[in-house]
Amino acid sequence: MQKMELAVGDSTDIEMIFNSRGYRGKVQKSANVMLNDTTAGVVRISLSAEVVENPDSIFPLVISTPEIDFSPIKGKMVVEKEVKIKNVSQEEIKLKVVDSSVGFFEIRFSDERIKPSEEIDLKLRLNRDLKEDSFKKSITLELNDKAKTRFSIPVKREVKMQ
Amino acid sequence: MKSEVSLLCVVVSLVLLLLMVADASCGQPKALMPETTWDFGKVPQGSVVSHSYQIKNIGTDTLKIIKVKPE
Repeated sequence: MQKMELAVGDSTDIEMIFNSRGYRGKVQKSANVMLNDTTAGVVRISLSAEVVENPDSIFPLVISTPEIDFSPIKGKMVVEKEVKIKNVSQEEIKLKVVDSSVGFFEIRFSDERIKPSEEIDLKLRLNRDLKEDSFKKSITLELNDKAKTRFSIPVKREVKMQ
Repeated sequence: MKSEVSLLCVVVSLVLLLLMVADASCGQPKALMPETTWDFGKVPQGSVVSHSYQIKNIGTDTLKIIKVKPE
C-alpha cells in the first residue's frame, strides 16, 4: 500500500500477496480493510486460487516455465523474458490477460489464439526501471473455454544487496 | 409577551436549521472499491502471486485506511 490517507478524489492500491507453499487444491484467503468511512467502516477483500502440484501443465495448456524470473544473471539486468505456451487440446484456445500488476510489465503475445498442438510466445518486458528492486508479482490469464479457466504465472526478481 | 415568544421560536428554528445545514455540508470520506474479490485460477505450488485492489475516495473529506487485517 503506497498511501494510508487519501485526499478527495485520490486513489491507491492495496496489494494482497498469496504464497502457495504448503497448500493444495482450492484455497481462499481474505482480509478486512478498516476505514474512517462512517457508511462502510470495514471492507472485506478476498482472493481464491487452485494450487496445482504440476505447475507446467495446466490442461489444456503446457507452459515452458512455472515461474518467470527477472533476477540478474551474472550481474547483468534482465528486462525481457519469453514463455512458450502450447495447446495440447483438440480445440482452438484464445488467451486474455486479466491481471498483470499494472505498471510493471508490458505483455505481448505472438498470437492470442492457439491452434491445437501449436504453441505461442508470451513476451514480458519490464516497464519500470527496477534495477535496485526485488519483487514478487504475477500475471493472470484467462481462457475462452466455458469455465473461463484462469491460471497465474508468478513473476519475480531477486536482487541481492552488495 | 406573545410576540417575544414567537420571535424566540423563529430564532431557535433558524439556529437549528443552520446547524442542520452545517452538518450536511461537513465533509464525509467515502470509499469506492470496484473489486473486492479476485480469482487467480490455477497457481503452481510453492510460488508467490499477488493482486492489487484499487481504493478511491469519492467522498468530501480525507479517507483514512486505518488498518488492513488478514482473517
